[in-house]
Amino acid sequence: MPIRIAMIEDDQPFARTLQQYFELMPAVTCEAVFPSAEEALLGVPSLAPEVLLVDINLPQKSGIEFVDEIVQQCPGILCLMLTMYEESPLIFDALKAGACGYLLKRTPPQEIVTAIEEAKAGGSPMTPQIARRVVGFFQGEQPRPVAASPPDDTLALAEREREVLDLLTQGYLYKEIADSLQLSVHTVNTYVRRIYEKLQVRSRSQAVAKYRGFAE
Amino acid sequence: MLFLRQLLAAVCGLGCSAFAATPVKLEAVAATTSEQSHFAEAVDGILSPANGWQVPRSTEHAGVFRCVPAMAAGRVRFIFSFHGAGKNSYFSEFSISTTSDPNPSLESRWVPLFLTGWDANQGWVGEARPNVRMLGDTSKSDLQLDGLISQEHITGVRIQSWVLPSARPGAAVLTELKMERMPMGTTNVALGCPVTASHALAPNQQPEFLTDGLVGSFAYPDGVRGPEFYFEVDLRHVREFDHITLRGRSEASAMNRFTNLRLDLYDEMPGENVPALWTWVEERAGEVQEPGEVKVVRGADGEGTFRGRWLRISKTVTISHTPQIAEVEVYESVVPQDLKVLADDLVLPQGDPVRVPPEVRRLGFSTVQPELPDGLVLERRWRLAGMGDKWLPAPNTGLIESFGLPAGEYLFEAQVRHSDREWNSASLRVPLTVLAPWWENPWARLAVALAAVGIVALLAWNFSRRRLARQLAEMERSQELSRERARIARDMHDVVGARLTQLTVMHELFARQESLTQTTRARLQELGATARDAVGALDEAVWAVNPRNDTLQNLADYLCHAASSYLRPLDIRLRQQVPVTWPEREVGAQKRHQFLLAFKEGLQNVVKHAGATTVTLILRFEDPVLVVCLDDNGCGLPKDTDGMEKDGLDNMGARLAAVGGVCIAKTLAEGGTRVEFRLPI
Repeated sequence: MPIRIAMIEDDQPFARTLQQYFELMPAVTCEAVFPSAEEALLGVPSLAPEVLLVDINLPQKSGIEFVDEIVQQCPGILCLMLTMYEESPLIFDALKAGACGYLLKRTPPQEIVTAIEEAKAGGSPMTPQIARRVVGFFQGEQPRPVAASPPDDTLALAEREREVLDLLTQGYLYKEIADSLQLSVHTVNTYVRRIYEKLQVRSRSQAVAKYRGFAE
Repeated sequence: MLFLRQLLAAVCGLGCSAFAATPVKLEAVAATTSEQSHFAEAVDGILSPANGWQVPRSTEHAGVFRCVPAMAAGRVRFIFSFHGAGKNSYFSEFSISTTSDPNPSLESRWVPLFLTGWDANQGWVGEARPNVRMLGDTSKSDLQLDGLISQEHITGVRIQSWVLPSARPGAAVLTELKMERMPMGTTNVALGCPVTASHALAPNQQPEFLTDGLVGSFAYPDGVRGPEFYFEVDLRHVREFDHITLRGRSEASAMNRFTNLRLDLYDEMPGENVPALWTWVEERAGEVQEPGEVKVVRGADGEGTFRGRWLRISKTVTISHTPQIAEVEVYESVVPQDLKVLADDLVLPQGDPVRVPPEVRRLGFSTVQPELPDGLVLERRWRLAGMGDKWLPAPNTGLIESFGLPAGEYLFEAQVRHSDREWNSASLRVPLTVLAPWWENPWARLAVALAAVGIVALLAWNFSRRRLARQLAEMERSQELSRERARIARDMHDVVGARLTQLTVMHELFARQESLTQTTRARLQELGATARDAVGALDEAVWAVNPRNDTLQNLADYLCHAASSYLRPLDIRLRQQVPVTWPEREVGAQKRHQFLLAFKEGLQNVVKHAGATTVTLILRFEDPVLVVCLDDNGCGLPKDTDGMEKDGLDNMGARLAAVGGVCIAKTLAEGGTRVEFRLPI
């Protein structure tokens, strides 16, 4: 059973080429290519693919905004950012919005397929740079109690998650983290996935709180 | 005694010789002698033995002459020429009187002339007071008599001839009588004024000795010892005084007769219930006087108004023969007048103050001395208060000059010196303002200063406005440039990058075809790798030029990314010790690009030469220096660093130096190498 995916990509020649490649791959089947976020928001819910490859730099609404909206419309949908950009802030924002991973366009297509498979299997890639931003986010945002949403322990990082994050910031690979914490790579992935989820919930609740703060 | 008097008269009559005597014409009016006495021949100007007024010696006679014109009070000289044919034809005893009667006659009121000097070329004067007595054998005798006339307006002269018991027979013949007015030569207005004494004086003394102009003649009371004694000088009319000079007469046996004096001035005839206008009591009471002492008393020395007609001189102690006084001199205030100020030969209008235009080079002052009797000219001096304040002698021309007087307020003063060599107290005082050129006027200066400030402010404002505009334009340009950079970066990245990426995917698609030969597949592999390299290189270049990455945080992130993407494929572990947050600092594209190149060179060196399995990347910010350490666990630096490695280090150093940074490589104590980059932000 191939993984059903869709692409949101405005660069048609690239999208077509990649689509041709996916056709050769039995592991995935690309069911649609949307040239813009707006079209994708209309088409994706009915199509209900398992994994979305989302470009960040889209004509109108950006890929990050798209992710933010689509994960709320279709909970459980997996978004992988497929971007030209290496820049940590963008990637971090995408993760905060609800993406579960990201890929660079120059990644060999074989690895893109592997990443899709990993994402489907619950994998959550995180580089040291992103990890540091996550740490900074949780540290920096912590002392700001939000009136609308009282401090929620579920939104704070658990000790294990913190340990994992700490090793990630220092450049440890998942396997090395698993070894040093005596866990399986799968568990490390789960921790990271949870960290992402908290990041998303947290950033979303903060956005709401900010909105309310303005409204009041 | 006679010689002494004449000598003293010569000394006292200072300046007399400087002025010529003025003849006073005499006209015969009336005489008691008979018509045959030829009275009129006494004044007919003919000096011959047969021509003259015949005056019988047996009886008293008098003759009256009119003075033409009338004469003011002052010194006078009579010359009696007795040139009769016989011997000793002179008057044995006679007297001279004067009158101010408009029509002098024998019946007019006559005042005796006070004689101060006499001389004869033949015979001599035995005594002069009250009448002149002549002695000796003469043939042609000329008798000269000097006197002081106290009346203001002398219209006539009377000669009286007296009868002596031992009178010679016959008649005396006055061949010719001449009268001359002698210059006063002094500003002493008391000279010749009538003097009275309250009590009897010593024998042969007359009160007039005090005003006879002779220091040798003096007077003092005889008998009365107390302060009730006084001398009284009638100055003929009320006068404003400058000073009073008293001359004493010392005698070795009595040195205390010129002390403890008192002066009183009255404008009415003194008497009971007539208050003094001014009183001076000598402060140096009890002291003995110096021989020849002169007391100069000024208005301020006493109390009251320094004016009056009658001057009383008395004493405050009871000592016999006191006061003993030789001369009393009274000086009226004389002040120069009619100041004319000449500025470079232009006479300035009078004013208080006189305003002197700015920038005058030569300033002249001319004053006029009030007219004094007999054309007396007094010494003058002047000064400019505010410019040295020193008195300077004024030349007789009366014009004095001052050069290059700076702007300011001055007081011009001029004084005269009286004939007793005392300076007049009062002076001519005229304030003088030398105007400043307009540019030295404080208001003008203020205006100029304000104008200057205004201009400077205007210039500064204009300048700053321009600079602001320029800065704004620069900022806009730089922003424009920045936007342009971003656009080019995005375009390159999105378009060229996407195409290259597409190329790599297309390569994969192509490679899937099974009909490819081994060689073609290998070539294809190479193509794919080149395309990926190109994407990587493009990525780096775009990262560097993209202004969005001009932050320290982005630089740090990118260094980590570059290290991990370079080392991971080579199975070298990368450990990172990097701060979570960074300060907001801008790092320009040039700096980031050069630093990135140096950093990648450092990574390459590690891979090529160190043989390391783990690399630790340490980043920290030591404001304002970004410190990047690349530690490896390899073999460390060789003893003599040379060859490729040296070149690498040199390259890194050069790249960093280009952006103001340094690069240090050293072997770590625990083995391995540390390459430390330091980049000031």
